[in-house]
Amino acid sequence: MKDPARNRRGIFVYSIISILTLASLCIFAWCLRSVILPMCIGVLLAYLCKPLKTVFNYRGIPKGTRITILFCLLIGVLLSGINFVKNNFPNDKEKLEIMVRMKYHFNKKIENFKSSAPGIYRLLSKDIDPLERSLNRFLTLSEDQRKLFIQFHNGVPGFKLVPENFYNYFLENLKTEPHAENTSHGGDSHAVEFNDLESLSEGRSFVRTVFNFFSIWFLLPLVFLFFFLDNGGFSQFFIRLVPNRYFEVVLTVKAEVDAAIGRYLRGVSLECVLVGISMVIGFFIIGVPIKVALLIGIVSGLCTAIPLVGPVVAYSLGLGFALVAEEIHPLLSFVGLDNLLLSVLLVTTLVLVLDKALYQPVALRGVVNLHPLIMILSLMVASVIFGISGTILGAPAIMIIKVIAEHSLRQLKDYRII
Amino acid sequence: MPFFQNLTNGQLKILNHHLHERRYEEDEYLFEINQPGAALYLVSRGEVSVETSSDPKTATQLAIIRGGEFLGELALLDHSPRSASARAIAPTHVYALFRGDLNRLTEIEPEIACEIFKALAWVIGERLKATNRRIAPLKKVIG
Repeated sequence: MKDPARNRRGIFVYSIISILTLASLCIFAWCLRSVILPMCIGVLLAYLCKPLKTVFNYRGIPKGTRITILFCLLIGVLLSGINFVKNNFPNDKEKLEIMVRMKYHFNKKIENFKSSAPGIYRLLSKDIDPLERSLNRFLTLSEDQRKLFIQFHNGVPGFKLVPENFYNYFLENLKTEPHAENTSHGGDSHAVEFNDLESLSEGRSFVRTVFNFFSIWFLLPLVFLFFFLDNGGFSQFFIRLVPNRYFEVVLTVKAEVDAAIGRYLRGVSLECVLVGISMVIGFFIIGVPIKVALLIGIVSGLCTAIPLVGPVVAYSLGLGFALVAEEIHPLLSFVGLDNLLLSVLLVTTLVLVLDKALYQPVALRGVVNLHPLIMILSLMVASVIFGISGTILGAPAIMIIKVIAEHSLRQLKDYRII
Repeated sequence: MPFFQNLTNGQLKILNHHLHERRYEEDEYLFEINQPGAALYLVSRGEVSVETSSDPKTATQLAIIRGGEFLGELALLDHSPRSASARAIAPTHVYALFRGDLNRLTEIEPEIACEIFKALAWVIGERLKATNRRIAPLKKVIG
């Protein structure tokens, strides 16, 4: 039996080490906050792929070959992701075109609404007018953007010409914009000089995007591989530091937390996939081109993992497309360009209701649940402290904290430590 | 260690990732009676006294576990609380095998897990036979 003086010294040393470690971890996390997101996603992905470890450990293939195959698979997935983003993310010209089209169609739809349903408009004018003004402000091109758009219309090497109908939308939009007269008249002249047009070339901006991406996200595959290939050595190191009295408690809590996080991640992933597929099917049925439907489905599906953000993104993308759509091929005869906005609203709402009523109860069965208010507050705090990383990782982080707290308290009571 | 005698070197290396090395001072408890059990302890060096209570003054010693032997095996098989306390009576070095790790081994390394379960079944059987031998005279006395 240890003598009391030695016990006291032990407690003192352990306390000092714990405080210093915690403080160092906090400083470390704050300094590395820009890479927290890829690191955490790497860890979460490793958790998600845990069940695949049995397949990965198949004895017939040597370990070196297995790691190489896994690494190649990861790089393949990452490169495909980059390629997908590169092909589908609008460039500077397309962004301007989208803004011009959105503004034109939005104003047209509002005008139609005002003339076709004046009664309802009068009733809702207090809400619609501010929305109309703010959206118009948001979509109005700045002086430089207008010049750039005209330059694209006249022709810029490496870019296709702006279609004539989009240019007509642009001219229509200018009529509603104050101080735009000079631009509209001088638009076709070649007097506008752009020193940075070369920097807009697709290749260069792609290299820069890839460089920026890799400078932060190169950590993701490394962290993923480290945790996926870890056979318990990482946790063994930390468990060795635990005093004997708490050893079994820590092991039990670790196992329970492991299982709970795994269940949560797999549940959320399943929910994301189901929402994504439903969105793709729904949008395809109402005539959205399959490429756009896929893009909306993937982004909305991924965003489902972030509480509150998911529905907002789903509605924004769907309505955004409905505003700029010029031609659709719906499978349902009663859907047309006139009622596309309404159809998008219906499809998105239907998928979100399906998510709440069917997907969540099935996918997240047996998963820890949090009160919505606590979730909202936690997300707000996390996003204020860590920005976008906090918004994305806030939900899993609060789940993990809740699971650890719940299981630790129960086990400490069971072991009669508290 | 007899417990792992049927495992190959490669399997022992894998198993090593799932064992937790612990050191206990004299009179320090490995576990106490009625606590939830979660791990089996393989004694590498030292001695552990298995007792009926957590109070050494009132406890009755049931067995002494020495190097090469193990204790707490029921924790791997069910979730019942510990049926006795285990106290180190000399500086002791043990390897703990946690129930969760054994369950994971059954998924990722079923051959190793199978060997461990076979060893467990054999040892529990031997202990049951020994207990029967010890209570046989008592049965005769009771009639």
